[in-house]
Parts: sequence; structure tokens; C-alpha cells
Amino acid sequence: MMLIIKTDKTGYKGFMKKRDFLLIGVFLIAAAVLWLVTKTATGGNTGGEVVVFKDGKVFATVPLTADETVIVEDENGNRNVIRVEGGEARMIEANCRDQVCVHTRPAGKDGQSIICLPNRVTVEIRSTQTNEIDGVSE
Amino acid sequence: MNHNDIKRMVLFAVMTAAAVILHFVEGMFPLPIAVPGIKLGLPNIVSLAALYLFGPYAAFSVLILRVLMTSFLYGGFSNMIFSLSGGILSVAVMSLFWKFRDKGFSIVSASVAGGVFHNIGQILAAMLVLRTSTVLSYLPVLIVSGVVTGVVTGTVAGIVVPRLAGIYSINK
Repeated sequence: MMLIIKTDKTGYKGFMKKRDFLLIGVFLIAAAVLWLVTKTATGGNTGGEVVVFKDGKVFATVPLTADETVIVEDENGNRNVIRVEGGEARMIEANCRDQVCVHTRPAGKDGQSIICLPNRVTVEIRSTQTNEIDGVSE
Repeated sequence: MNHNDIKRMVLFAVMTAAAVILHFVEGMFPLPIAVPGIKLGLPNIVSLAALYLFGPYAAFSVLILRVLMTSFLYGGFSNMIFSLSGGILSVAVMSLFWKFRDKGFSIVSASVAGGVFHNIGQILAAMLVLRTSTVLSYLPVLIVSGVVTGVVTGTVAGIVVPRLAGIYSINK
């Protein structure tokens, strides 16, 4: 990927330099390392529970195996509806502007999450197995 | 107020207006990517231009004016917190690379680092607002998107800045 832009008027030739590519490389390597770290941290083990946070506090805890709907409402009229079904949790409704949470893919694996920033609601999947069966894999 | 003060005021106003418009234009064309919070960062072209034409003071002024205006017009209070935390960190890092512009870092480096740190700033704000660290899992994706959008906006700024240098000049 070379970006060389030649302009006759100013005699300005390509502005990307060796150190630019170096910097981009450093950022990409950092991203890859972080991705690997988070990937190993969020193991594929199911059988956990869905923890719903509102304003940083636990609002509700539902087992992943359940078939349940959690409705989070506050005094400001913010409303989020979380559906737990088939080993997955999804945000089926939110009255926030951007609807990012509604479009987030369903969370079902340990460590996955759905976040609704405007309404300050987070849904996290927590494993209930790890501590009981294998403390080493932490 | 002498001639240069007026010229500076007008140029800052023009650049703020351009940044607000770019913010609006960006909102009209959402990127077809399913990852939350990723934007091209078109207004950052203006921050870069302000930085490379007039220095950090101009870049910070235009940034803060732009964030205030877009928050009042389209966003809200929480929008302003996220835009400011991302924007200020971004311009601070870009100013650092602007300082080292003779040390082999072009405007693209500044833009890439600015894009990445803009996203990091927003994640930090999200961690504070939500009081959770789960948002950190978005970091790798946001770093990569910061690099990609940084190359794009940095390239545009690299083309724009030398052309504006003649017109947007303040006699010292």
C-alpha cells in the first residue's frame, strides 16, 4: 500500500514516510495482541449467567438456559428490553437514539457483552462453571 | 484588534463551520459496518488542517468550538462528553506528532495516532460512565478502525494542507 500523490503545481510528492508505516505496524500489532488476550480471556464455555447492569450496578441475573425477558426502566423514561432465550441474550428493544445495542450480535459466550451507552445498561455473560470445575484455566 | 487578529478569528470560524458541516455529512452516510461506534472521522481533517496550518492552539480551539456546536445542534450532553474526551486526547496526541513532523512522521502519522487515541478516549469515557471494563474488548477493533480511518483522513489532509497554506496564512 503505497500512497504516492504527485502534483505538478506544488511539486508535492507522496507524504507517507517510512516512520508512518512503522507507526501503523505498531498499532496493528498492539491490536492483534489485545485481540488474542481478550479472545483467550473470553473462552467459549457456555452454561453461564446473564448479568444485567444499570448505572454500573447489578440490575438482574438470569441463567443462560432460562427463557426470560428482562425489562430495565428508570425514572428518566429510559427503557431497555433484554431477551434471554436459547442460550443467548439479545437486546430486543431500546429507546435510545443510536440503537447500537439492538444491532449488537447476541451474547452467549463467557465474557461477551451488549452495551447501551445512552441508557447506561450493560449485559454481560459470566461463566458459572470456571470457578467450580477448573480454577487453573482462569 | 489588528488585521491579523481579525483574519485569525475569521479563519477559525470558517474552519469550525467546515468541521460542523463535515460532522453533518458524515451522519448522513453511516458506514455499512456492524461494529458499534465506528466513524470515518471527517471533521478530523479540519483539526489536522488547523494543526498543520496554525498549530495546536488553533486545533484545540476549532475542536472545542465544533464539539460544542454539534452537541447543541444534533447531540446531547452525553454525546458532548464522548466527543470531548475522544477529541481532546486525539488533538493532544496529534500535536505531539506535529511537533516531531521533521523527525520522519508525516501528517498521516498524526492522523493515524489521532484516530486511534480518539477511540481510546471514547472507551475511557465509556468505562467511567458505565463503570465497567467490558468495553475494553472493543479496543482491538477500534484500534484497527482508527488506523484505517486515520490513513484516509490523513491522506486527505495531506492533500488539502499544502493547497490551503497559501490562502490561509497569517502574517507573523
